[in-house]
Amino acid sequence: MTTKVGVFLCRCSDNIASKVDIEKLTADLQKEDGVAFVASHELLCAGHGQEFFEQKLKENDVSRVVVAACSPRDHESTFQKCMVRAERNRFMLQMANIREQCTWVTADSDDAYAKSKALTLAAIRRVQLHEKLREKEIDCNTDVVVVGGGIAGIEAALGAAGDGRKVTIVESTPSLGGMIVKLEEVAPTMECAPCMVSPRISEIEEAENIVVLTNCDVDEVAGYLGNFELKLRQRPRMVDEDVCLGCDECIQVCPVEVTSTYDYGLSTRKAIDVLFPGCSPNCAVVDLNACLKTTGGECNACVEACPVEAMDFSQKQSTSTIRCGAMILATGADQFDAESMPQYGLGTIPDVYSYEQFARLTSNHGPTSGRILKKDGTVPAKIAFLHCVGRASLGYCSRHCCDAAFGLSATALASNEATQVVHLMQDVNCNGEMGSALVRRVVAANGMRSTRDTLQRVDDMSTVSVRQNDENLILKWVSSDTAMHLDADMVVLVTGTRPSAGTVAILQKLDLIRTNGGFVAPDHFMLRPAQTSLEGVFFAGSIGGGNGIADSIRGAKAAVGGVLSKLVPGKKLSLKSIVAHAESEVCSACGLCVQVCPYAAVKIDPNRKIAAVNEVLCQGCGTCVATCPSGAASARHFTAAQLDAEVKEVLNG
Amino acid sequence: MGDVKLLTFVCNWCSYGGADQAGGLKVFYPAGVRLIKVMCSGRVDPQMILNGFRQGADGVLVLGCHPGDCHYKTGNYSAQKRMLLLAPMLRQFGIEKERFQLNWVSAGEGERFGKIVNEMYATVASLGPLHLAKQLVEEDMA
Repeated sequence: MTTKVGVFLCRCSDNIASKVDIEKLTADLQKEDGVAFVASHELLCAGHGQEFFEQKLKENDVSRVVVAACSPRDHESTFQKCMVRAERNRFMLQMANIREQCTWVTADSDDAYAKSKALTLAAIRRVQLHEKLREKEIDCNTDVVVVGGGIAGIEAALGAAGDGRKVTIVESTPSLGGMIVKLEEVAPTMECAPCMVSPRISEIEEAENIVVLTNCDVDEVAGYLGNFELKLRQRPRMVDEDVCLGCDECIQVCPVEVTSTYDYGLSTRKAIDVLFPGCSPNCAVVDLNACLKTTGGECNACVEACPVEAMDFSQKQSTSTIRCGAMILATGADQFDAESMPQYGLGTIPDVYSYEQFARLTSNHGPTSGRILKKDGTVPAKIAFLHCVGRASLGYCSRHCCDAAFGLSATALASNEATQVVHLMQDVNCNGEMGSALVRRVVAANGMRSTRDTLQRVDDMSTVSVRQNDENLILKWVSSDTAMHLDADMVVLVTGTRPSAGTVAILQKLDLIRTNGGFVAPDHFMLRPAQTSLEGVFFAGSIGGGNGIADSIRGAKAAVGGVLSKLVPGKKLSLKSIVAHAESEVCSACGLCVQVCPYAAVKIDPNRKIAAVNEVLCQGCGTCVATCPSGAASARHFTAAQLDAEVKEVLNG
Repeated sequence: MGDVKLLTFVCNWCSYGGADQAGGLKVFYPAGVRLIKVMCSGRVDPQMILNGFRQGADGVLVLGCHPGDCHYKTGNYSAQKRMLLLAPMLRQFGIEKERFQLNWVSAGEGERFGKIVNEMYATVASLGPLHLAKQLVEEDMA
C-alpha cells in the first residue's frame, strides 16, 4: 500500500508527554486506516532520535511519514534530511505541531489530547495526498549587464568584473561618466570629482572582461534570472571609435553651433564634439539633428579635417542581442524642472540658475572655466540658495540636495572672497558628521553675524518669488504670517530629483514595481534594498531616488553582492519545489493569475492560449491559485485536495 | 464557554510564527482553535472558507502578514480584496458575519495572536455552534 503512513510521536522530553498521554495516542492512532506504524520517541530531533527515525523507515516499507512533535519551523528541515538519508522524498513528510500549537497553549490535558490527535490525523490524511516533488536545477548564464554608465554603473561593472564576470555596460549617452563628471568638488567631503572618477573609468577601459556600448539603449528584455536576453539599439556616432584620437581638428572646422544640453543651455557646442574632455571612449560624436551632412545639407569639413580618417558617415543604427544572467540598473535621476514654477524666474531672469547649471559654473571644464560671475561680468556679492524647490509637487524630500547645495555654496565662498551666501530652506537635511561639518564650514566661511543670517527658515518654499530690480534681485516670501524679503545678486534653485528619462524607460520595459515618485522600488525596503521586484534585476544609484556619491557606490556594491551570490559560475540554479502550475485542459487564459502574481511569474502563452508559470520566478505563494476561477491553477504541496483533507480532519475531536 | 471550533488559516511566514511564539510564551487559548498552514494568506480562497464552515467550523479566521510586510509582497492585499467580497456573501448562507475575520499577526506577535484567537473564539462561542442548512451541507458534500 503506497498510501500507508508511518507516524512518529515525539515526547519532547516532557514538553509534550506531560500533557498528552503518548501511549494512549499511539494505541488510538494505530487503529486508524492507512497507518502503517506508530512509533514514539523521547526526543526525536536528537541524534539518537534521528537514528531511530531512519531505522524505522528501513524496517518499514512506507514512503509517507508524519512527525507529531514541535513546530516545523524548528525541525522540519531536520526530519526532511532524515527522509533523504532514508532514501525517501523529503516532501512525503508532514509535521503535526503538537507542542507550540497544542500542549504549550492548552490548559486542560483532555483537550490537549483531543487536539493532538486531530492535528496528527489531519497530517496523516494530508500526507496521503502528497506528491513526490522533484528538486529541479537549471543551467544559468553568469554574465552581467549594467544599464547606465554613471558612477553607480561604473562601480557595479568594476565590482562584477573583479570577480571575473563578463560585464557589458549599456550607456545611452556617447560617454561613460554620468552626472559626477559634470561636478567639480563634491559634498560632503569636497573632494575633486574628476579625480575620483577618472581612474575608475581608466580601469574599465583596461578591463578585458568589460564591454562598453555607448550611444546605446535597451530596446527589449525577455527571460528571467539566469537567462535574460536583451535587444540593444546603438545609434551611429558617424565616427569610428577605434580610429578617432579624440583631438579637436573636426570640432574646430565644424560650421554648426548648437546649444549645449550638457551645459544645460549655458554654452554652445559644435555639431561634432566630444562630450567632455577625457570622455570615454575618447571619441567625437556627431549631433545627427544638427549636422549639415546628416540633415540633408552639404558639408564635408570634418571629414577633410580629420587627420586619421576616422569620420564614417556610412554608419547606421544597429541592433544586437546579448544574453546575461543578471542586470544592474543604474540609469540615474534628473532634477525637477524649476521652469515649471515661473515665480522663481528660471529662464526669464538672467542671474537665476538651476542647481545643475550652477554646478557647471563651478566646474573647471564648465562654460565659465570655473569662474562664478554675474551675467554683467561682476562678482556676485550675495548668492541665495533656495532649497526644496519642487518638493511640494514632487511630494518628497530628495535627501541628497541639501548636501549638494552646501557643497556648491562652499565652492562659491572659496572662489571669491567678496561673495557671501544665504540659504533659504524648509529644513536642513545634511546628515551625519560629514554633513554637519559641511554646514558649519559654510557658516564659518560666510563671516556673517550669526548662523541665522546664513540659514534662513522658510515655512513653504513655494511661496517664495524672485523679481529683477534695477541693480539686483529681490526675493519675497511669507513666513509665520510675516512678509519677508531679501536682496541677492544671484539665485540658485536647489531642486529635488525625479526619475530620468532612461530610468522611466527601463522600468517600463521591465515592468518593475515603482515608488510613488516613479523611482524603482526595492524588493524590500530594508531586507533587499538593492534588488528590484524582478529576480535577477538589481539597481544602484539615483534610479532608486536621489543619491549622493557614497550612497551610489554603496548601492552598486550591494547590487554586485546580490548578483555574485545568486549566480555562481559552474553552479546550477536550484529552483523552488513548492511552486504553482496550471492545468492546460481547464485554463481559459482569462489572465487573472497574471494580474495578481507579485513576481510576474505567470504569463499567458499566446500560442497555446493557457497560463504558463515560470518556475524560476514563481515563489510559491499560491495567490494565483486562490484567484483562478476555473481551478486550473494549483500550488504544489498546497493543493486544494491536500488542504481540504487537512481541514476536514483537523475539525474533528 | 461553548465547545466550538475556530478554523484558523495562518501564513507560513508571519502568522504561523506568531502562533509558535504564543506557544513559546505559553499564551493559552481554547483547544477548539485549529490551525491550517498555507504559504501566504493570498492562497486562501473563499471556497476554502466555505468548505471549512461545511466541514464543521463554527468560525473561520484568516491571519496574514501585516499590510506592507507580506513575504510575497502583495499576497495579503489579494487576500483582503477577496475577503471583502466574501464577507457579505456569508449572510446569504446564514452565517453571521462575526463568524469570519481576516486579521494580521507578525512572527513576533505571540501575545497579539493569543488576543485575536481568544477574542474571536469567545465571540463564536457566544453565538454557539453553527447550524448550516442541512440541504446546503449535503448538497456540497455529495
